[in-house]
Amino acid sequence: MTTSFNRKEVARAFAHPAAAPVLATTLERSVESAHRARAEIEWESLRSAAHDVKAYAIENLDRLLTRFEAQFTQRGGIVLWAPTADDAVAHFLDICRRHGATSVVKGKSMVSEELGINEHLSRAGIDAVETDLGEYIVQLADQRPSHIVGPALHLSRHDVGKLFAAKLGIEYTDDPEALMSAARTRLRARYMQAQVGMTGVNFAVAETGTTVVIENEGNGGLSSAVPPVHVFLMGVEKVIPRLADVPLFVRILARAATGQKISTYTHHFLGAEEGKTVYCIIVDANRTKLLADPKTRQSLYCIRCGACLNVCPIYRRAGGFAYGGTYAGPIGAVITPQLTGIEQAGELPFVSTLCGACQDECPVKIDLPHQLVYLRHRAVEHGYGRASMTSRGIAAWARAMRDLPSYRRSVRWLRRSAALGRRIGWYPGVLGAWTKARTLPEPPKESFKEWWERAR
Amino acid sequence: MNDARSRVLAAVREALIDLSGRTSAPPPVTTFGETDESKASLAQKFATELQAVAGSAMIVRDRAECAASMASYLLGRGVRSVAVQSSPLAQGIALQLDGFDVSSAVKLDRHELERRDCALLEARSLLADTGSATVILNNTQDRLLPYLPRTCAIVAELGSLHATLTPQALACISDSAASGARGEALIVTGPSRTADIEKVLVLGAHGPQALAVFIVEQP
Repeated sequence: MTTSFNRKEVARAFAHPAAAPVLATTLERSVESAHRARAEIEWESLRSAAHDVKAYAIENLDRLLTRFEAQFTQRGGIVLWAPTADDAVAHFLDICRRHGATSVVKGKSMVSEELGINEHLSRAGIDAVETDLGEYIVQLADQRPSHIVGPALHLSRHDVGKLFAAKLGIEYTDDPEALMSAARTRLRARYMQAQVGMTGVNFAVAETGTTVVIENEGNGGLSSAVPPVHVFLMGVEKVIPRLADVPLFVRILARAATGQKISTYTHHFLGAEEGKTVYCIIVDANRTKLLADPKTRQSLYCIRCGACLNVCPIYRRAGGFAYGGTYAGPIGAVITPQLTGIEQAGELPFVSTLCGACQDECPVKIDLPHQLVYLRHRAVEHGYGRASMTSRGIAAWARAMRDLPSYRRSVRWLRRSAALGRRIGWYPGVLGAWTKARTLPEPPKESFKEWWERAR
Repeated sequence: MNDARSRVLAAVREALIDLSGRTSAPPPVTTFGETDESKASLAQKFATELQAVAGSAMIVRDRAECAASMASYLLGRGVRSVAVQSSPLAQGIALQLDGFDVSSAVKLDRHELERRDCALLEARSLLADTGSATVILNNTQDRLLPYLPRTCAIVAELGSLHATLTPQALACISDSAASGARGEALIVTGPSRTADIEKVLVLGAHGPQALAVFIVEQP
């Protein structure tokens, strides 16, 4: 899987300058709502407390996972462990086969996106449908989510109207209520016929073996309650120690994500009721690589609120697809290189201005900028950028600065080149990107040293 | 399967090897305390917060007034049929709802539940600062109630009202978990919603389009 920064997507974003302000405005509205909601509570002390709980959970992950497993099992659930992404997919397919499933309804889950569950199910002849409206839209459009919380944020109502007209056969409308209604009608039928429902997990409580899923639409509730089989899909990092910690995270998650005081539905799943089979697939898939490195361990504290994306100047301009993988924005630039390999995604940590807005915004106080810098070092150690223009430029600069005669020769050459360049007016290749919109400054006729010797 | 379990746990332990002196005690629990506000004041706050998320709250004196107020609300929404959660307060109010086709949810299958106009649930705790209601749903039909009908009515005792998600408010969930109860505890805040298209708010995404909470002062 290639997860390098997708220049085609960046070019596409810049080729449609009208779209960028729409995305930025939408995100800015989210940030303003979040700040209003945060101002009502003791935000700073809560994010420190949340940071401490997550730190404890991650540093005691083995104990908490085994406790969660024991408690979840006692509640009638079945825990399956997946060291790799392939193991997780194999577990899911096996569950579907065992229960004769031909139809699966899915609540929102980033792990599912990461594992490509839909594609695997489709190849196995199992029809899987996303039920979160944003996810449903991007599935119909054959795209990936562009934002953790708002998967279809990149599409306008006009785009969705055209998509629904083409894919669902309804009359074109750009009314969000009518579009939601069309999706609702179709998805209701799917809930009723599905044999397996799948949801992600926001928090898995070790003390009680209960799982917490937070959502607004009710699709998580229906995906878990209607089909006779419910599968939770969660990364190893989702476990928290106590039920009493849940209110803390409930208080901060929605405020950071959407600016709501609380999401519409906070489900605490207590266990398999009569007639129900419940599984929990616990996925590693390289998360232990993040865990093993003390400098990136903190990224496992992430509660997937998307707040760092909303404030990131790069994300705001380039959009989610530019990041090339499941996780976009600053958190994506940190975790993707670890999940997929620094050789594959070593470019992503460079996709940041290091302005620090992401860290300021993070509800669990993840130090993203320092992790980005650290991963840049690692990427360079792995050979990233050796053949790049920057690298060649720095090598040329090093040669020029080697001694005084080299420096003087280089400066003379640069001055003459710049004077010549002004006459050409346009440069080919990457230099053209600069001269297309700018005029080279007029170089001085003599150097400072020449002027000084003449004028003193 | 055991091999997979061992591999994951071994990888986790190996990854944490640098933390040999790690602390074994978790940080103190962050709790949110009750205020000294009266229940009446909290009820007003609850109503304001619920209204802010497009729900509505009615504060009623007793069960009879609750049934009358609920009947009026349901008639206003064109409700004819009601499916009721298997809980004492909800069943008690349902008995007093005259003129409606009322059934216990446990006696209906999911298709029948979907055809019901309204769900009637009992909240075990209410949160004033968010306008939220906590319902405990122990069987599949009850679990479908908060989503399938287009209208959702919730009844609760005034005594179950808390300032926020305090340990007392959480007790109904922790007690259910401790008792080994199955199903789910659901904190519901207003009608179902989405803003996935251009951040435009749409109510009634997959669940109800309208939600009302009836707070009974003397149940």
